Formats: sequence, C-alpha cells, structure tokens
Amino acid sequence: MSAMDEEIEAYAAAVRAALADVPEPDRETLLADLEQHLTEVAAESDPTPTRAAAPAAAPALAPDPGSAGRSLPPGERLVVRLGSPEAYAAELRAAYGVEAPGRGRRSMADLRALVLSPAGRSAVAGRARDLVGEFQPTWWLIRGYLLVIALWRLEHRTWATMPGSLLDVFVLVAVIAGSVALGLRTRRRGGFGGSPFRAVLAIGNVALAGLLLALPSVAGVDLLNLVSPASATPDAVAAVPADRNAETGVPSLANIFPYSRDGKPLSGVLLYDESGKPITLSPEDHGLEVDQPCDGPPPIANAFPLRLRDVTEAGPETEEETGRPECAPITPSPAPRPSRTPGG
Amino acid sequence: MDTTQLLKGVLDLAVLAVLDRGDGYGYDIVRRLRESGIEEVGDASVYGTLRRLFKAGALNSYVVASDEGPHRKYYGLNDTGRATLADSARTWTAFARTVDDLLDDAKGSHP
Repeated sequence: MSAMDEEIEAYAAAVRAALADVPEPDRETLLADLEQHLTEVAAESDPTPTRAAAPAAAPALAPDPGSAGRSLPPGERLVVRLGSPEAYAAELRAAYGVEAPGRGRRSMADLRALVLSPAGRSAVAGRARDLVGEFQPTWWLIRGYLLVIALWRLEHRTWATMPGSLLDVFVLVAVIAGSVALGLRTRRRGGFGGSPFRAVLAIGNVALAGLLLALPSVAGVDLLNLVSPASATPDAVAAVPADRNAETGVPSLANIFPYSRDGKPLSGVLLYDESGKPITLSPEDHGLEVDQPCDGPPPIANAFPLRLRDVTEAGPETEEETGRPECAPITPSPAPRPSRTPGG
Repeated sequence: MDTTQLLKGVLDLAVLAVLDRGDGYGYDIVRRLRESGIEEVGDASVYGTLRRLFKAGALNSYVVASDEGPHRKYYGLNDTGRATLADSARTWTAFARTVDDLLDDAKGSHP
C-alpha cells in the first residue's frame, strides 16, 4: 500500500470518526464515496489549498495559492488541500444540514431525540429484529421439545425428558419437525393467515415458554439431568410393577416346584446361584409366607418347593414371626461347603 | 468582506446552475465551480450540498460504470430541481438588484 493510500485511509477514518454520532441513514449518505473523492483529490498534481485549508495547514507549510507544480510530502497533501479531517467532516455536516455535535457529552435529551427519531428508531428496531431472528430457530426446537414433554406427561403420567419407547421417539421427531416447519412458514408467509391463527400461535408460544420456566419447580426435573420415564420419580417406580427383586436380581417368585425329567415332583431340592449363594425368594410380595412349624427345625429357605401359607393378620412385611411368639425366628440357611459345586 | 458567508447563501443556486449545464459527479462539480470563478468553495460543502439537494428531491442520481476506475455516481436536475433553480435565480437577481441600488444610493454618485 503506497503512502498516499495510507494517507487516504487515515483521513477517511478520521472523517468517519468525526461523523460517528450522525444517525443512519444520513451517516451513510454523507460517507458514501468518501475514499473515492479523497483519491481524486490526492491525484491532483497541484494541491491548491482552499480557504478552508489555510488555517489548518501543517505548521511548516505556508499556504501559497499561486504555487504550481510544487509537490508536497504525501502526509500533508490531503490536509493542505481539504483541511483537517475534522474540519472536512464539520463542513460536510453543515452543508448537509445535520446538527453539529455539542462540545463534550451529548445531553440526554439529544440522545433520546436521536434514538426516538424515525432514523434512530428504525435503526434500533432493525437491529433488534435481526437479533430476534437469530434466536428464532432455536426457539422452534425448544418449543417442540417442550410440547413433547407435555405430551409425555399426559401419556405416561410422569415428567420425562427422554423418549422411553419407539413411539416416544416418533412423537419427538414429528413434533419438533412440525414446530420448525410452522416457524419457517410463519416467518415466510405469515403462517396460515388471519389473526385467530396468530393469536393461537402467540398463546401457544407463551404457554410453552411458561412451561419451560415452571418445569424445574413443577416437575422436580432438572432438564440437564437426562432421565427416562421409568426412573423419573419415585412414583414411577411404584406405578410400574417390580419384576425383579432389587437385591438379588432373582425374579419375584413365591415358590419353585422342581420336577424330575420323567415328570415326578421333587422335594427338598436345594438351589444355589452362580456364586454359591442360596436362592431365596420373596413370597411376601405375593401375600404369602413360609409356614414355620412351631416345633422342630425351621424350614431351609432354599429348599424347594417351599411350604407356604397365606400371610397372617400380623402383616405381610415382617421378616420375623410376630403372630406366634412361641415359635423361633428363621435361622439362616446353610451355606455350601467350598468343595461342593452347586447345581449340575 | 469574506465571501464565504455570501457563498453559504448561494451555494445551492450555484450547484443547481452548474448541473443545469450538464450532469456531473461530486469531484467534477467542484472543479466546474472553481473554474467558473468560485475558487473558495470547499469540496465538503459541495458534496454535502449535492446530497442535501438529492435528499430534498431536486436531483436524480445514477451510477456510471467506468473502465479505468471505480463507478461514479452522477447527479442531474429533475423537474423539481429545474423549478427550484428558476425560483432561486429570480430571488437572487432581485436581491442583487436591491443591493446594487442600495450601493448606488450610498455612493451618492449622481450624475
């Protein structure tokens, strides 16, 4: 970049800065083609200072209107010819009819007038509209997701943030796609027309926004903590019947009836799991309990089939006998000797 | 007497008059004004005036592509501009005549 280009750029930047307080679109009008004009001026071979330039000329140079053909150092040609950038900007502004900036800070009244003026207002509104437009697609995704959460709430009777079934996945994809499509259509063609549609859309948007804000407190769900319907809340666990015993992982059975290969019922069969632990069932879950003989040794807990009876009035969840105080509590089942391999 | 003050009042008229002779772009208008004898007009004043007149609806503007350089924005008078020029010229002539008469009286030179 030549020295002249640098000077033009610097001069232009200074002029722009001096006009920074001018509202659009006047500012743009004033500054259009600025560099082009400066280039044309700079291309003059004989920079004759105008009356405006005289007081602002570089100190070392006396303005000499009559001198022809004298070449000035690049850094001063524009200033000598046009005056300082600030003077140029002031002259431009005055000729155009824009008020000159006050010394120092603008008053609040000026600022308010600037912002509320048609030019200022449209600039602010335009920028605000652009910003809102940037966030619109994100809102379409979020509102679709919120709508699906609301649907899952109705379907599963619990708050969930992740799909729990294939149907849930279809619903999620379909609703989010629909939300984006609706948003695009609304943006391009004003939706499906008419103020009723717009009113419904506005109410829907507000409702979903409200759901977003209320979700953490209403549902006790932290949206960042992804959960599935089955384990969302303790209620869900109770609602879904427990298929498995939480501790041992053994299916919740009341009893096991072993038979030999030729169909003969067996009794007193001892069963152990893969780590050698006796298999114990939960007949209490089914309203049954082990029939304890009052005299004699208590039955072995992993000897099948168990001898069971209906739960006594004392209550099903007791692990020790309460209804028959004269009977002894269940003793622990015998552990296998390490050398013996359980099962077959 | 400082002619800059006078110039401020008639710059619109001068720019319209130059454009009446032919369309032109910013730098070109400045040059033509200077050549016609108004040497002290500032570039920025002319540019600002052109844009103000355009905004007021007195000028057309169009862009002319150029082979050797950047595209130039040309201005030209439209009907409103021509009407404004005629009107301002009348005002100026009447004003100048009034001042001339005043001077003649002041000079007190009577044959």
